[in-house]
Amino acid sequence: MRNQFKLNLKLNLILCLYFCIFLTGCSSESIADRVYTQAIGLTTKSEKAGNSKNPENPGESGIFTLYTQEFNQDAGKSVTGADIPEVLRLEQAVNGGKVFTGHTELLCLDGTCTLKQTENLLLEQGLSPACKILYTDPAVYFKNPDSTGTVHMIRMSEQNGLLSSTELSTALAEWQGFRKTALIPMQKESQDYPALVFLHQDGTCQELSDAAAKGMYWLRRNTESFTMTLATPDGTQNIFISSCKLKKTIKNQVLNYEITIKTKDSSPELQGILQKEILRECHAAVSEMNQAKADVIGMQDVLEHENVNSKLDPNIDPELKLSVIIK
Amino acid sequence: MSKINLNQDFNKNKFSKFSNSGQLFCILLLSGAWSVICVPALSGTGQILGSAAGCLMQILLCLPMLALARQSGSFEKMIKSHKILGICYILFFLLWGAQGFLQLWDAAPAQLLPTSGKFTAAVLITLTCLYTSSCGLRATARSAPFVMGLFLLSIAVLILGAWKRIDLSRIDLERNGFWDGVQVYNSLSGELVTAFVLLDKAKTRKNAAMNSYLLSKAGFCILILFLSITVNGRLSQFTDYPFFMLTTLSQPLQGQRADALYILVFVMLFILHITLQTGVVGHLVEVLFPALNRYAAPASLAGMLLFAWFLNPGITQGITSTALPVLAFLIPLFIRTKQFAKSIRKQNAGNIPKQDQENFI
Repeated sequence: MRNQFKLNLKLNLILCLYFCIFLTGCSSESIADRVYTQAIGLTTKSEKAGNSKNPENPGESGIFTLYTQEFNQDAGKSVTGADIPEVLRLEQAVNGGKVFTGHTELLCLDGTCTLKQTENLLLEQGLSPACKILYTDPAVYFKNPDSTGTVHMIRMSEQNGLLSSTELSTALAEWQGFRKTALIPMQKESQDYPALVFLHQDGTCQELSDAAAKGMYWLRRNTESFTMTLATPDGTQNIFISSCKLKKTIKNQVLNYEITIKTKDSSPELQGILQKEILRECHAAVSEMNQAKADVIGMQDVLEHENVNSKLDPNIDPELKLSVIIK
Repeated sequence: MSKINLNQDFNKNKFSKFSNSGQLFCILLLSGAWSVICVPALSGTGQILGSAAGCLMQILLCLPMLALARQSGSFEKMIKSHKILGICYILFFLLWGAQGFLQLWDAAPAQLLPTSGKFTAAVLITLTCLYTSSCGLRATARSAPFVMGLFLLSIAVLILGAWKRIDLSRIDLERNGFWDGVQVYNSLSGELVTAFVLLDKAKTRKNAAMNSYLLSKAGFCILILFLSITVNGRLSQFTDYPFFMLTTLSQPLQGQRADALYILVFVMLFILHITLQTGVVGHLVEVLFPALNRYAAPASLAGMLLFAWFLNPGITQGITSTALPVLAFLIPLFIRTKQFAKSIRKQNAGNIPKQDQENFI
């Protein structure tokens, strides 16, 4: 009996040690050994040469350069390697800790790295799906990076109806679409808030006009409330948009995008001006989107929904009818 | 004297009657949830309807086992007189456990097992399974409600994180994937056989526990499929297991990632799933070969690992999905029919057991 008790005691002690050593985080590295990146930039563009190693196949043959900025640090760092795992390994040596990209808020791309590399960052390196993407030259941006300011600017622009909501997961889904083009913000010196570009999977890009960028705001998803400033014959007037619902349907192979907007305390005249303005912006957005052979307003989902696969040809522009209802 | 009695009770009652139907419900649902999170690639929105149809089919399949469960011990008597049948059940549980190990190895993405490697993580999880299986099914049943709490919390976090990303335009009422849904749902329901063995030992409210389990599992499966379709969208193409893409996308807080919670639930569901199979094998060995009872749990774990090592996933899945309707439906139906025929014979001989007639479906 006594021997049994001793055996049980030993077994329990071994179990306790096993739990404490192997099944807790104590054996892992300490928090000081980790590097939490706030922003990362990825490019295959050579800093000296100034252009991509292989413009036909972005990211395929190139030597990757990874730029990082840690939280609460003003300076960026860069390393160069043959592939993403290698640059991350080198990055650990440069930064003196294991790079953790789970909280990264900003990803800077210049078009040399698109679908394949960002997919790797999301699935293998644990990059946050809500991470914002910025179209810029990482070599220039990370010389004097202001990630906090950039991310806040993008978020505020999205909340105030100036910019359509974009993030890593939406860009990846768009690159996977039939027109392989994503909508991505870019910083513009002549403008206080970010502009938008269509970035094709092959690295080519096309900038949107101001009206088209605003049109994308209405055409991409349901939006939250905000105050909009409208130019009227009596000067500028503010109008409060309490909700905006987007309904996508298809009838006789024609796509119908119906935008229903609820406003607060607005006159019928003001509502009429608002309707015309939104229609103008939406038409500009659709026109520029078709010109760039892009689909960033979910046309593919609607067409697949109705099995209209004949329209899923990147060279054919699906017929689209826009309507705006103001309540 | 009292100490000796307690010790004897402990050894004897490692598998005893569940104290309430809640534990039975929890243990079955959590084991089923493991299979649901390992659902392979989506084949269309019809898969959601297919899963609902699969659930209805399973409710019908469960009727004989529920009828049989009204008389506790029927299954035990049957396998005592037909040992080969008991061995078939043991083999099924070993294969079902082996499939669990294969799913763990195949499905777990790198970020869900973030120790020094996938192999190290698998070894540590197996060692933990060895410990939990040695504690017996009673301890597992008692711990199930706690795991259930954590599981529900992770579901809430998952929904909260996925809420803003739901795009209903991705749902289309088409029939694509309907039969895949039925097939996948039924092939991932090995715990129905476990339920049959456990029902034989459960105390009360067996029907309530089974009905709640079947409906909750169907609800969970439909929820995961719905979220995977509406949230993942085209990103599903990047992964073979939509649930893991869903956890990658579902991060409700900006400053805090929910990965740790998903890892915890993922590992706990697996351990509970394997411990349940080893516990049931231990019970069957106790009934069939009482002398081997002491080593049943670790031996069954070793058996599962061996099957997982030597058989490929296609073979284990093929065998288990073929054996499932036989072991969970045909055998209970056969036993119940035999009982009924016996009662009819007795009735003809002048002895009328009314209860038997009322119970027969």
